Amino acid sequence: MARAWCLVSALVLAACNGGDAPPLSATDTRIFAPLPGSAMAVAYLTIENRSGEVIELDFFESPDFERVELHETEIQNDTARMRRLAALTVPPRDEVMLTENGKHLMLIGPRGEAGPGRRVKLHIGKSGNVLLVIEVELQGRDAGDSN
Amino acid sequence: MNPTSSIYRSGRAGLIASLMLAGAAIAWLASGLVGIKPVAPLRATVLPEGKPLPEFELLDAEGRPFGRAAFTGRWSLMFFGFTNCPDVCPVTLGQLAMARKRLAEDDPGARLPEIIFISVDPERDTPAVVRAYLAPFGDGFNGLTGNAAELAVLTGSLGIFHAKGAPVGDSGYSVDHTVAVLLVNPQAELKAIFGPPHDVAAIAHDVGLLMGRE
Repeated sequence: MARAWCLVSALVLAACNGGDAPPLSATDTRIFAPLPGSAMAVAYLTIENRSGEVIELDFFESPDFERVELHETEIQNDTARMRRLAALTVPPRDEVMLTENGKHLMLIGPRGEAGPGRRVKLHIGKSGNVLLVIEVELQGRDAGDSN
Repeated sequence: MNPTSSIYRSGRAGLIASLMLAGAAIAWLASGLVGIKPVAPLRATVLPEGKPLPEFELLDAEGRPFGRAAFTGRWSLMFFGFTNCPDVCPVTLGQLAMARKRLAEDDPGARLPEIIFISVDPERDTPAVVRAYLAPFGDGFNGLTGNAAELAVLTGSLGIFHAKGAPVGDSGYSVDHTVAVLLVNPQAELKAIFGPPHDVAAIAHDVGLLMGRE
């Protein structure tokens, strides 16, 4: 069962080899390739915490980008402001959505070509320990992306 | 005959006749209203009188001068943002592209609004950068950038806020900015404002309505 989790490209936990069900999983993952002229990709996903403990995620990195930062867009009085967050708290037996115009991951400085279709990895964890490895294809932006 | 009773009968007949007349009038009015579409915008705040854009001069995505006169003769949807914006700006531009596509599908052959993206980060956004950034969104887009003073003329007149925001990465920065979408009429006047959160269907409906399609 744990081995099956490891093979799922979108969600793998470091605890796979421990035999327990991974406490974290990711769904609805979308990473948009940097637009031409920009060096920033953006990741949206839902992280579910199946454990009975609060999990505070403060480690975000990717071998395909120089750095990954957690940010939040806030829109008040018609004005958007973005601020960096130090950590993402996932309550026990609950989920947190990273979504458009809200919390999101910024993947900065692509290492090599970062066009739509390229497979990239995203590591998410706590205190330097990777708890979740996500591997998806970069998506492109077009008129069909929006609601 | 009792005169009082006669007056009473006469008054009652008059009342009945009046009610019948009123009913017929209501029925006639109602029949006239059948088939009339609702004309109220769904989301747009419409200015009763258009507010003229100021005189300004920025550069378009090809590096050519672009000012107030370039807005005349067509409808335009304006959005202010910056190309290092990974979230709100591409999401909004995608929504505007989708709204334009819906307008084209609803009325093939009709004129469509041009979508004008105006950079609030002229320090980093050259015309070439803006052109590349807009390319994935398809036809009907143009981008403006230029010097900060000319930008301030336009943003100041329209009440658009922008300021350098939080640091991003080692040396980058975000830009806080107004995310409303503005509709400009062919007289180069601000005609309507769409505040967030943006809705593709509502934008397409209201722009079509205001452009006189219904």
